[in-house]
Amino acid sequence: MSILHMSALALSSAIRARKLSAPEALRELLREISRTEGTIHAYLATDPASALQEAERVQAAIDRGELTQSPLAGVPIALKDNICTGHLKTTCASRMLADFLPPYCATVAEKLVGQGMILHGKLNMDEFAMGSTTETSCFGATANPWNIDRVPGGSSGGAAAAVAVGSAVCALGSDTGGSIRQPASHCGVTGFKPTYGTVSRYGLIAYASSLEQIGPIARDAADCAALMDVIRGRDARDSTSIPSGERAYHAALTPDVHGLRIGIPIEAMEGNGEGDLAPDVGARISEMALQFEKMGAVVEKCNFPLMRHAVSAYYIIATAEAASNLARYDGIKYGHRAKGEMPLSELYARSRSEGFGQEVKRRIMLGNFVLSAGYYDAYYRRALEAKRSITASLDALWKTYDLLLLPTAPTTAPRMGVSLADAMGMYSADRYTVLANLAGIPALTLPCGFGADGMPIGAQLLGPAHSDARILSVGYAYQQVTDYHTWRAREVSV
Amino acid sequence: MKIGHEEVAHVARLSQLMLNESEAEQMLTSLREILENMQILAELTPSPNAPAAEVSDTAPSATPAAWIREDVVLPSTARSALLANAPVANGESLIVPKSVE
Repeated sequence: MSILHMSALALSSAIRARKLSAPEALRELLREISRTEGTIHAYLATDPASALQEAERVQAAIDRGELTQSPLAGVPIALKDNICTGHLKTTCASRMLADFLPPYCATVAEKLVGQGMILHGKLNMDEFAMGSTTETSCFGATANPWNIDRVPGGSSGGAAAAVAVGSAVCALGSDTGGSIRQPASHCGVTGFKPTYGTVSRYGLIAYASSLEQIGPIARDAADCAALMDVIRGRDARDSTSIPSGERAYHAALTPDVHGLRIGIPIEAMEGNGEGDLAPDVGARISEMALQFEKMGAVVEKCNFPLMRHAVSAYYIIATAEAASNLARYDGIKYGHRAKGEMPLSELYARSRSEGFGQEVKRRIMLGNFVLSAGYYDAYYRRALEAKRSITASLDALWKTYDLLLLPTAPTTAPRMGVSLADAMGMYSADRYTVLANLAGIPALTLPCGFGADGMPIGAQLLGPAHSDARILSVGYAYQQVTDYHTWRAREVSV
Repeated sequence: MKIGHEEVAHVARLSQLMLNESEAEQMLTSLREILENMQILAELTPSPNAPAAEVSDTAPSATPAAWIREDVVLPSTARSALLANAPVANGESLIVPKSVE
């Protein structure tokens, strides 16, 4: 049987029912990677030999009757290349870490292996997760499988593209301002950012520590729920991690959404002065709203005027934290060091200037600026206040609504080369996704149709903190009555 | 408030980055545009009685007792593993440029 159209859950069931073995499944996937990588370039590293060895080990465990409580046992998974793996280089798609082999594994990597999943590769991304197109990767861009002249989105573009084209069954990305959800939307797959603290960040190379979470990118919400059950949980090694409940998210999935109250912020559907929402994107969101009404939910327009401050607040806070987090890259203990004899201060500056790309440098500069004397109050402190106000607005909305529905991105995937020429335009396109990071709340993107250009469109569901299981269940319910998530890019073009 | 070349040079020093003339010019244009857009935050007037905003308002205000581990020594990462990624090392130490005459 071919695994190439299978969800992770279906694949694991097939393996555990002895319809095929874990090594067979992995071998087919590795062939698909070889077939597509020349065009798509989703991967930065694979290790077929050790992955096959791991698949044999997992199969032997399954044959001994173990891993019966692991619904994803035997399933191959790839990780965004900012998640530390001890056996594969972890580069953050940067010259600064081009040869870095981590001395430890991320907690999520250990958990995946513990549940019998097979880590088989590292995925391309924007450098240090800073970007929305995967074009800032120092190893070259990833192509969108639906149209290779378009970007896959970013910064988890490699992950979204690989799942979309079928060269990954599922993947983990990271999301600081939309970096799981936006590429998932642009590539027609499902992506989920958990409530802040739900998934340990131990081993996630930091960009903005108060905003980011690791999360799944997969074929559907059910796979995302099953992956969340593997990776979530309080971790003593991440002091910001929190417990997330005993009941499996996957067990809580139900097709019933009767009585669910969904709000659509009018500011999200109108341009509101920040740039237009493409009409086809708006149309698909409206169609999703109608679908939810047919399913018995109550859908209404609501107001969220403080949405307009989200992008500015996000880019001030995120870049301030990035400037701090990336100060560690000085060429001394690890990472790129400039060659030649020079004073220490010049060594730091030269190593960093040679190691970092343009977008990373811009964000470090912006971050240090907003934190510097004379500007801290006008920018950073104001941004923290805006973050608090936005969170308070959302708290008020949760008194009336269970979920908010809004676009994931204002357009379909842009052409290569267009976004980087207009930084502010690129930042502004994050206006729907940064809300969830600022407030620390969960958010799910679901494929909900296609644009006039044939490119996928995603819609976002946001919910209150700790409503992760419910959002995933609502996404599952939507995917029981629609089929957008089953369309395959490889049917369209490769 | 419009930033100029001096601010860019100052922040580049804070950032430990070297920018050549053309990079500095591009950075100035870019930062000006971004900071101009961020002026929208000036619309917000925080309530004078609101407590100072914090980075994480959602984290627990005090660490639960159950999350504080026992005060025992745990193994550290092996020196060899930590030096494996060092640009210049001698098996025992990192080697850095001389900074004291």
